[in-house]
Amino acid sequence: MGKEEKIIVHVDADLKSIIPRFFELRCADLDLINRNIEKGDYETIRRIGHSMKGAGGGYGFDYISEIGVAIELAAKEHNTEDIRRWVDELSVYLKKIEVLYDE
Amino acid sequence: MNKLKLLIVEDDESLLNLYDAAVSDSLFEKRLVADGRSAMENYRTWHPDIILLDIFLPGMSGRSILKEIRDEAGDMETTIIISTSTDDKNDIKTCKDLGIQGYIVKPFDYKTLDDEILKCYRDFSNKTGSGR
Repeated sequence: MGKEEKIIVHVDADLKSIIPRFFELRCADLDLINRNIEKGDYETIRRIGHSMKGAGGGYGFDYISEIGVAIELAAKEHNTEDIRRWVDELSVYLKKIEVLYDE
Repeated sequence: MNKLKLLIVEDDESLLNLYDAAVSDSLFEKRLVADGRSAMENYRTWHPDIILLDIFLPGMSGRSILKEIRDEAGDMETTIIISTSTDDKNDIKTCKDLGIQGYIVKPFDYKTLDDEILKCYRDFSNKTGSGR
Protein backbone atom coordinates (compact mmCIF):
# COMPACT_ATOMS: atom_id res chain seq x y z
CA MET A 1 0.00 0.00 0.00
CA GLY A 2 1.54 3.35 -1.04
CA LYS A 3 1.92 6.16 1.48
CA GLU A 4 0.12 9.05 -0.12
CA GLU A 5 -3.02 7.85 -1.80
CA LYS A 6 -6.49 7.78 -0.26
CA ILE A 7 -8.43 4.58 -0.37
CA ILE A 8 -11.96 5.24 -1.53
CA VAL A 9 -14.63 2.76 -0.48
CA HIS A 10 -18.24 3.07 -1.57
CA VAL A 11 -20.75 2.15 1.12
CA ASP A 12 -24.54 2.22 1.04
CA ALA A 13 -26.02 5.28 2.67
CA ASP A 14 -28.24 2.94 4.74
CA LEU A 15 -25.19 2.22 6.88
CA LYS A 16 -24.05 5.81 7.34
CA SER A 17 -25.14 6.05 10.97
CA ILE A 18 -23.17 2.98 12.08
CA ILE A 19 -19.93 3.52 10.16
CA PRO A 20 -18.25 5.93 12.63
CA ARG A 21 -18.68 3.42 15.46
CA PHE A 22 -17.32 0.66 13.24
CA PHE A 23 -14.10 2.64 12.78
CA GLU A 24 -13.90 3.50 16.48
CA LEU A 25 -14.06 -0.20 17.26
CA ARG A 26 -11.34 -1.04 14.74
CA CYS A 27 -9.09 1.61 16.31
CA ALA A 28 -9.82 0.05 19.70
CA ASP A 29 -8.86 -3.34 18.19
CA LEU A 30 -5.45 -1.94 17.30
CA ASP A 31 -4.81 -0.92 20.91
CA LEU A 32 -6.18 -4.17 22.25
CA ILE A 33 -4.04 -6.30 19.95
CA ASN A 34 -0.91 -4.33 20.80
CA ARG A 35 -1.58 -4.74 24.52
CA ASN A 36 -2.16 -8.46 24.10
CA ILE A 37 1.02 -8.91 22.08
CA GLU A 38 2.86 -7.62 25.15
CA LYS A 39 0.96 -10.07 27.37
CA GLY A 40 1.40 -12.95 24.93
CA ASP A 41 -2.36 -13.52 24.90
CA TYR A 42 -2.71 -14.99 21.42
CA GLU A 43 -6.19 -16.37 22.07
CA THR A 44 -7.58 -12.86 22.62
CA ILE A 45 -5.78 -11.67 19.47
CA ARG A 46 -7.20 -14.61 17.52
CA ARG A 47 -10.72 -13.71 18.66
CA ILE A 48 -10.26 -10.07 17.63
CA GLY A 49 -9.08 -11.20 14.20
CA HIS A 50 -12.02 -13.58 13.95
CA SER A 51 -14.51 -10.81 14.77
CA MET A 52 -12.85 -8.46 12.28
CA LYS A 53 -13.14 -11.13 9.61
CA GLY A 54 -16.83 -11.57 10.33
CA ALA A 55 -17.74 -7.90 10.36
CA GLY A 56 -15.60 -6.07 7.78
CA GLY A 57 -17.07 -7.40 4.56
CA GLY A 58 -20.63 -6.96 5.79
CA TYR A 59 -20.05 -3.22 6.00
CA GLY A 60 -18.37 -3.17 2.59
CA PHE A 61 -14.79 -3.22 3.87
CA ASP A 62 -13.59 -6.50 2.42
CA TYR A 63 -9.97 -5.65 3.11
CA ILE A 64 -10.68 -5.43 6.85
CA SER A 65 -12.06 -8.97 6.70
CA GLU A 66 -8.88 -10.06 4.87
CA ILE A 67 -6.72 -8.45 7.57
CA GLY A 68 -8.87 -10.20 10.19
CA VAL A 69 -8.20 -13.56 8.53
CA ALA A 70 -4.46 -12.84 8.51
CA ILE A 71 -4.43 -11.76 12.18
CA GLU A 72 -6.44 -14.80 13.21
CA LEU A 73 -4.02 -17.11 11.40
CA ALA A 74 -0.92 -15.37 12.77
CA ALA A 75 -2.34 -15.56 16.30
CA LYS A 76 -3.02 -19.29 15.93
CA GLU A 77 0.64 -19.72 14.95
CA HIS A 78 1.83 -17.38 17.76
CA ASN A 79 3.57 -15.40 15.03
CA THR A 80 4.15 -12.01 16.66
CA GLU A 81 5.99 -10.61 13.67
CA ASP A 82 3.07 -11.25 11.33
CA ILE A 83 0.56 -9.93 13.87
CA ARG A 84 2.52 -6.67 14.13
CA ARG A 85 2.76 -6.44 10.33
CA TRP A 86 -1.02 -6.81 9.90
CA VAL A 87 -1.73 -4.41 12.75
CA ASP A 88 0.45 -1.84 10.96
CA GLU A 89 -1.40 -2.59 7.73
CA LEU A 90 -4.76 -2.02 9.43
CA SER A 91 -3.50 1.19 11.02
CA VAL A 92 -2.40 2.56 7.63
CA TYR A 93 -5.65 1.44 6.00
CA LEU A 94 -7.76 3.17 8.65
CA LYS A 95 -5.82 6.40 8.16
CA LYS A 96 -6.17 6.35 4.39
CA ILE A 97 -9.73 5.22 3.98
CA GLU A 98 -12.33 7.63 2.71
CA VAL A 99 -15.93 6.46 2.65
CA LEU A 100 -18.29 7.65 -0.07
CA TYR A 101 -21.94 6.96 0.61
CA ASP A 102 -24.05 5.72 -2.28
CA GLU A 103 -27.67 6.86 -2.10
CA MET B 1 -49.30 -9.91 8.61
CA ASN B 2 -48.20 -9.71 12.24
CA LYS B 3 -44.59 -8.92 12.72
CA LEU B 4 -42.41 -11.93 13.50
CA LYS B 5 -40.51 -11.80 16.75
CA LEU B 6 -36.81 -12.07 16.01
CA LEU B 7 -34.20 -12.51 18.73
CA ILE B 8 -30.67 -11.73 17.56
CA VAL B 9 -27.82 -13.03 19.69
CA GLU B 10 -24.38 -11.67 18.83
CA ASP B 11 -21.54 -10.56 21.09
CA ASP B 12 -19.65 -8.49 18.52
CA GLU B 13 -20.83 -4.87 18.67
CA SER B 14 -20.05 -4.14 15.01
CA LEU B 15 -22.16 -7.08 13.90
CA LEU B 16 -24.95 -6.28 16.33
CA ASN B 17 -25.13 -2.75 14.89
CA LEU B 18 -25.14 -4.17 11.38
CA TYR B 19 -27.95 -6.59 12.20
CA ASP B 20 -29.91 -3.75 13.74
CA ALA B 21 -29.53 -1.64 10.60
CA ALA B 22 -30.15 -4.55 8.24
CA VAL B 23 -33.22 -6.21 9.71
CA SER B 24 -36.45 -4.58 8.61
CA ASP B 25 -38.61 -3.02 11.33
CA SER B 26 -41.66 -3.47 9.16
CA LEU B 27 -41.23 -7.26 9.00
CA PHE B 28 -39.78 -8.03 12.39
CA GLU B 29 -40.19 -7.05 16.00
CA LYS B 30 -36.60 -7.49 17.04
CA ARG B 31 -34.55 -7.75 20.17
CA LEU B 32 -30.77 -7.77 20.19
CA VAL B 33 -28.72 -9.31 22.97
CA ALA B 34 -25.00 -9.87 23.38
CA ASP B 35 -24.69 -12.94 25.60
CA GLY B 36 -26.14 -16.38 26.14
CA ARG B 37 -27.76 -15.68 29.48
CA SER B 38 -29.76 -12.74 28.09
CA ALA B 39 -30.66 -14.88 25.10
CA MET B 40 -32.18 -17.58 27.31
CA GLU B 41 -34.03 -15.01 29.45
CA ASN B 42 -35.57 -13.49 26.33
CA TYR B 43 -36.34 -16.91 24.90
CA ARG B 44 -38.24 -17.90 28.06
CA THR B 45 -40.14 -14.66 28.61
CA TRP B 46 -40.62 -13.18 25.13
CA HIS B 47 -41.07 -16.40 23.08
CA PRO B 48 -39.48 -15.34 19.78
CA ASP B 49 -40.57 -16.91 16.49
CA ILE B 50 -37.00 -16.86 15.20
CA ILE B 51 -33.60 -16.84 16.87
CA LEU B 52 -30.52 -15.74 14.96
CA LEU B 53 -27.72 -17.18 17.03
CA ASP B 54 -23.97 -16.64 17.02
CA ILE B 55 -21.99 -19.76 17.88
CA PHE B 56 -19.21 -18.17 19.91
CA LEU B 57 -20.65 -16.26 22.83
CA PRO B 58 -19.27 -15.33 26.23
CA GLY B 59 -20.58 -17.39 29.14
CA MET B 60 -22.98 -19.70 27.36
CA SER B 61 -22.17 -20.76 23.80
CA GLY B 62 -24.62 -20.76 20.92
CA ARG B 63 -24.35 -24.55 20.81
CA SER B 64 -25.39 -24.79 24.47
CA ILE B 65 -28.36 -22.49 23.84
CA LEU B 66 -29.41 -24.58 20.86
CA LYS B 67 -29.10 -27.77 22.88
CA GLU B 68 -31.07 -26.31 25.78
CA ILE B 69 -33.92 -25.16 23.52
CA ARG B 70 -34.14 -28.34 21.44
CA ASP B 71 -33.19 -31.07 23.90
CA GLU B 72 -34.05 -29.75 27.34
CA ALA B 73 -37.05 -27.51 26.60
CA GLY B 74 -38.17 -29.88 23.82
CA ASP B 75 -39.02 -26.90 21.61
CA MET B 76 -38.98 -28.06 17.99
CA GLU B 77 -41.02 -25.13 16.65
CA THR B 78 -38.91 -22.01 17.10
CA THR B 79 -36.90 -21.31 13.96
CA ILE B 80 -33.20 -21.20 14.83
CA ILE B 81 -30.61 -19.86 12.42
CA ILE B 82 -26.96 -19.82 13.36
CA SER B 83 -24.42 -17.28 12.20
CA THR B 84 -20.94 -18.55 11.66
CA SER B 85 -17.69 -18.07 9.78
CA THR B 86 -16.74 -20.06 6.70
CA ASP B 87 -14.17 -22.16 8.53
CA ASP B 88 -16.60 -23.52 11.11
CA LYS B 89 -17.85 -26.50 9.08
CA ASN B 90 -17.79 -28.84 12.06
CA ASP B 91 -19.91 -26.40 14.02
CA ILE B 92 -22.47 -26.23 11.23
CA LYS B 93 -22.70 -30.02 11.16
CA THR B 94 -23.08 -30.25 14.95
CA CYS B 95 -25.78 -27.56 14.88
CA LYS B 96 -27.61 -29.25 12.00
CA ASP B 97 -27.67 -32.44 14.06
CA LEU B 98 -29.13 -30.50 16.99
CA GLY B 99 -31.82 -28.99 14.76
CA ILE B 100 -31.28 -25.66 13.03
CA GLN B 101 -33.23 -24.32 10.07
CA GLY B 102 -30.34 -22.56 8.38
CA TYR B 103 -27.10 -20.72 8.79
CA ILE B 104 -25.73 -17.35 7.79
CA VAL B 105 -22.09 -17.11 6.89
CA LYS B 106 -20.23 -14.04 8.12
CA PRO B 107 -19.43 -11.64 6.59
CA PHE B 108 -22.98 -11.55 5.22
CA ASP B 109 -24.73 -9.37 2.67
CA TYR B 110 -26.98 -7.19 4.81
CA LYS B 111 -29.29 -6.47 1.88
CA THR B 112 -30.42 -10.10 1.60
CA LEU B 113 -30.61 -10.78 5.33
CA ASP B 114 -34.39 -10.28 5.67
CA ASP B 115 -35.02 -12.66 2.78
CA GLU B 116 -32.70 -15.31 4.15
CA ILE B 117 -34.31 -15.19 7.59
CA LEU B 118 -37.83 -15.27 6.13
CA LYS B 119 -36.99 -18.19 3.85
CA CYS B 120 -35.72 -20.28 6.76
CA TYR B 121 -38.81 -19.39 8.79
CA ARG B 122 -41.29 -20.14 6.01
CA ASP B 123 -39.65 -23.40 4.92
CA PHE B 124 -39.72 -24.61 8.52
CA SER B 125 -43.29 -23.40 9.14
CA ASN B 126 -44.47 -25.20 6.03
CA LYS B 127 -42.87 -28.41 7.28
CA THR B 128 -44.23 -28.21 10.81
CA GLY B 129 -47.44 -26.31 10.13
CA SER B 130 -46.51 -24.02 12.98
CA GLY B 131 -46.24 -20.68 11.18
CA ARG B 132 -48.50 -17.67 11.51
